[in-house]
Parts: sequence; C-alpha cells; structure tokens
Amino acid sequence: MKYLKIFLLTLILGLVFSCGGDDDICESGEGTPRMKVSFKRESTGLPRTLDSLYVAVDYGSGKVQLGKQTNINSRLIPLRVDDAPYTDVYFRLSDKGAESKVRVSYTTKSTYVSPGCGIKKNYENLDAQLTNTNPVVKLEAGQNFIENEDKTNLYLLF
Amino acid sequence: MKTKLIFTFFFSTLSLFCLSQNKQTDTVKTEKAKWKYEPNFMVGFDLLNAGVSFFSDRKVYQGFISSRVKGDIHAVAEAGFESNVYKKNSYDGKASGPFVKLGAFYMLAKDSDNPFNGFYAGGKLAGSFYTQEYMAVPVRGFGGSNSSVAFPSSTQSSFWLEGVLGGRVQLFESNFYIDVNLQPKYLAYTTKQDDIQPMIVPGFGKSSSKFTMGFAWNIAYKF
Repeated sequence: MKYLKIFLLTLILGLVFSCGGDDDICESGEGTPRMKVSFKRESTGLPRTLDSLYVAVDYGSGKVQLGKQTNINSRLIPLRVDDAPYTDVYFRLSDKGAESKVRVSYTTKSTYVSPGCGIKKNYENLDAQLTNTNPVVKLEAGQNFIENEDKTNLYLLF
Repeated sequence: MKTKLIFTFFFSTLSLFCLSQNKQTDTVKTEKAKWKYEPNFMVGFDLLNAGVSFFSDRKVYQGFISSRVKGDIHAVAEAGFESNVYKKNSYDGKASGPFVKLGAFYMLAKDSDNPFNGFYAGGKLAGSFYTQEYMAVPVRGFGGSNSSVAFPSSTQSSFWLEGVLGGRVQLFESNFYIDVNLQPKYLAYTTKQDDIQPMIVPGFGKSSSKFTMGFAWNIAYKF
C-alpha cells in the first residue's frame, strides 16, 4: 500500500503540473528593437534637452499618436515590422504646433528569437529624409543600423 | 480540459475497483527460482484519444504491445500517428507524423491471482519523425503593426523521455484488459527549421514548453 500512496501522489502532482504554462510571454528587450532618437541644438551642435516632444508614426494605416514626453534628451520610437521599406515619423514640440515629417528608410533582416516573441526584425542601412523644416531644422545620422536600443540612430537638430 | 476530466473520472472509478480487488490477498505464490521466459503478449489500442480525434484538430491514434519479461518487469513498445495544428498567439502551424516509444515498467502493486492486474510505473524513450509547416510565425510590432513570416514545409525529428504511471485491470474473466496510464514527458532533443522551436510535436504535444503530460485509455487483449 505504500507504493500505492506514492503512485497516487505522483498522479495528482502530475495533473497539477500538466496545467502549467503554454502561453509564452515575450519579455521586453527580446523583440524587435526601437529606433533611438536624440536631440541637438542647431546653432552649437551640442546635445539638448527638450521640454516636450510629441511623436506620431504611420504604421501603414494612418497616423498613430505615441503621445507626449517631457524633459527628455532621447526617445525610443518603434518602427514598422511589416515589409514596407520605410516608416514615416512625425515630430512636434507642442500639441497644436508645427509638425516635421521624417521618412526613415531601411532594409530589414528577420531573426527568430523565442516561442513567445516569434521573429524579430533588425533594421539596416538606415536613411532619414526630412520634409518640413519646422520645428526640426536638420537631421544628423547616428548608428545606421538597429540591433538594440543602446545607441542613437538619428539626431534631430532644433 | 474536458478530456482530462473524463480521464480522471475513469481513473477514479478504476482505482476503486482495483483497491477492492487487492483486499483479497491471502495466498502469496512463491516465485520459481529458475526463470524461463514464457511467450506472452498484450496488444492494446488507445480508445480515448482516438475518440477525441473526431471532435478536435488533434488527431492521435496509438497502440501498444507489452510483454511480461520477468517477475514484475514488463517490456512495452508503443507506436502511433498524430496530426495537429497550432493556431495561437499569431502562430499558424501544423505538424503530422508517426512516433515510436520503447521502454519498460514495473508492477508496483498487483493482484495475487493475476500478475497482469495492478498498478505500474516505468519509463520510455520516444522519438517522432514528422512533417511540419509554419504558415505564420509572428513578428510582434507596435501600434497594430504586426506581421508574420511563413516557412516552407520541412521534415523534422524530436526525441523525448517519458515516464509512465498506470493501472491495468482485467475485464471480468475475459482476455480483455483496460489499461490506463499517464505519461509525463520531457523533450530532450529536437531538430529545428531555421532555429525555430517547434510548437507542436506529434506524440509529444504542445512543445513550446519542455514538459507535457499525456494520457492513454487503452483496451488491450492478452494472447
């Protein structure tokens, strides 16, 4: 009967464990990296802190407002993960203010990460075009590929 | 989940049945000192999983052959076929193929009148050789910008360790037995297509985690 107890206990434990996780969660940092944007003063070329910055991105189905951030010297912007060769990003300093459009073009490379995250995209050969010089006056290229979120990829000059 | 409930229901009724049988132990046969293998075979087919196959995307047909080797030790070989789909978390994949398992189990508690009646535990080595196709592996993005990448059909193989815990009971005085067992499985090795961890492996189940639990409800015939 001692065997039987062990047997039944294992059985119960087995049933408990078998209900465990099938849904893998994608932890942040493992997925597709975002583009890092930093700011400089156009007159001096030195880094500057922005009081406020509004960002909107067109992910293929119209502009999506990513909202306002205050007192920042850099900002991470997620780019498109579909097969489009560019992402349109819009910057403005105040909610109703003038808006600069930056078209970021690139080539992508797919890498498998994990069951939860699926596939991540790395961006290469980054190139940015500015179309409206108010409020962003000029662009300056940073690291021209995105593999992680450490280095600045694009400088905005105000 | 429903299948699991049905299974536990069967199992609980069976365990009551077996317990009542075990109470009758009076005479204990002494094992012969000299051992000679007597040909004996039991062939079983998993009815529960085959039945569930009619109502779900997961189709499992499996059977076993076991033979009492010596004393309480039985050898067991299993074979089966499974086809399954995985549509979850923006994945869309399917896999199908045969699998085989080889192992042995030990009768922990048995009926004194019939050494084939009782509870057993053991282990098996298992392998599966299957075809998989992932129509969509997700690329997770922001702001509704999700996409997926498709991969062509490919042939893969997986190997796992499997424990077995079960009970076997004779149906009245016939040569038919009911064999019910639980199979905790641990995925040891799998080949991968472009480094993609397979989400389903025939015979193993959902393989995004290394550990799964299987079960079988067999009708077996003893020759």
